[in-house]
Amino acid sequence: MPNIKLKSSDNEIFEVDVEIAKASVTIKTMLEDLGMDEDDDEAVPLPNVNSTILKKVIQWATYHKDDPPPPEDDENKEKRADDISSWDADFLKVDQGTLFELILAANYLDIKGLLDVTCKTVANMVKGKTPEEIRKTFNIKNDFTPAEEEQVRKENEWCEEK
Amino acid sequence: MDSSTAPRATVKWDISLEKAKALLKELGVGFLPLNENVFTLTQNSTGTQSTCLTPTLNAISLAESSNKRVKSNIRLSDGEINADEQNIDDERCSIDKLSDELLLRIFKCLPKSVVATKCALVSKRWNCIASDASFWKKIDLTRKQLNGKQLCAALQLGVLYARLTAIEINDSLTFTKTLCLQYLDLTMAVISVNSLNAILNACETSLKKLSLEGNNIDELTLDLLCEKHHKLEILNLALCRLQNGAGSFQSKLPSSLKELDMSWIANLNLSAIVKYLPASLLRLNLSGYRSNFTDYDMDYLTIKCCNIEELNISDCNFLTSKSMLFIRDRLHKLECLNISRCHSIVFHDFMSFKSLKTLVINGISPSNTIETSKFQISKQIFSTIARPTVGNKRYLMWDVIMD
Repeated sequence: MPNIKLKSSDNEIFEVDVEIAKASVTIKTMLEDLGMDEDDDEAVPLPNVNSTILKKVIQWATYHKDDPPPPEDDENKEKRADDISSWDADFLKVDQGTLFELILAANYLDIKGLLDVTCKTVANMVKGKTPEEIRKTFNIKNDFTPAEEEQVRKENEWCEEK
Repeated sequence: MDSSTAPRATVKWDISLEKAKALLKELGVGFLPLNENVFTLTQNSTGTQSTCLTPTLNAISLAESSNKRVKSNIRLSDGEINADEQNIDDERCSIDKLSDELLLRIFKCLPKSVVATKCALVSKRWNCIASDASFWKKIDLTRKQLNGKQLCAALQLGVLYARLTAIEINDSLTFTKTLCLQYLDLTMAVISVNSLNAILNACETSLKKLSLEGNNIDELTLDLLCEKHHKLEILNLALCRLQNGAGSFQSKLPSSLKELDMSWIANLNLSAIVKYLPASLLRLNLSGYRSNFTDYDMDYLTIKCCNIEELNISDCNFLTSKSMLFIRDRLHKLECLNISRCHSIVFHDFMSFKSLKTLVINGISPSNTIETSKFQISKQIFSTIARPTVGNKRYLMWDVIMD
């Protein structure tokens, strides 16, 4: 299998199997559209991904290299958050900073499978929490006045589970 | 280069607060003013890239709240920071860094009730994202008891597909925005005629599929259906109760209608309705007109709506074998015919129906008299014509998956 070089934002070079790198639609398109030769020695620059995260992304893509292509997003179907494989769950036992950076990287590199599983992981962190607990978990500032918050609560009452 | 082994020149600088601020800002580091504005600048003697600022560190906050980015290539000399580890992590990449699209993607992995009643209360930004129309394309409020305000708020989120089956609305509705509804299922809803009309009137464009089964409707309802909702493809008015002179309804139903259920509507002037049925109809349910659906009406119907593929005329006791001849000779595309309990029909020659595939004849015993090799005889009880949810496919509202 031919390899390809990827260069992280901090100038670290990673050599990866082309097929694995093509899990990223961004890289795949770059190779196809720009006619970048596979045995070209030049590294593909990825200015939005640092080496720590790129290493994780490559690890994920390597493990999932034989996965069937993920299904297209079906507008008619709601995503579930409870179908994360145990390997992915272990892989994503990382601090919040890394998790969000992985989401940003998966989005930038356009790796749908990784984006799905990282988003689901965050969704699971939200589940079962009160708004205040969610703020604490993610260190989010409450910029509502008590009156505003009460108004939103009232407006959305219709959606409460019975 | 490893800064610990690199040769260093340490210079003590007195610089102005403003300059320090500017310098730090350029490096992506925030600044807290302090009485003593003394910084230590450590520089690799080789003069290469990594200029490390190791100021008296309590003077520096790792990030200003407005700009939480800390450049990863700034190395602060070991041991000089007391900032707690957790904080540094949070500053490095927090959930606030995710774009609205990405947060929305996360929300979409959550049940709607969690998004509306938990996420929306977290912050203004989260509330804004939780209200995104793309998130509220479908809502299912089956059997909910709501006040008018709540229902208006829900529908005004930009809902396209609303399942309001058996919903109970106990006061009036006032919409402040137009609605984007495409599919609306109000089957067996407990809602006043005025509220129902308010919803139909608030729609920006024509509904495509609508079920008002079991509702009270009036003349205005029918006018709205015929004029405003002129692009309706599916309409279910089964078991509706007509109020305020709606019985004498005379107006052309939308010419886009493919499926129509007008079964079992008391006091309906069926002869008038038949004249206004559109030629576009493919599936039609006119069952339950025990005494006012006549062969004369069938004559008219079969001339007008000659594309019908499925026809349900069960419990229409006035129809006779004459109607069967109209159907046979004019509805060349008819595949399914339901004549259950049509006791006045004495007809055996169903073999001559060229396209017929299914004959539903509950309540009459045809087994000896009807040759069955050509089509199937079904005991199907419930009509599927125009119904949003049939059989055990609870997750479907017509062709949209609701769960």
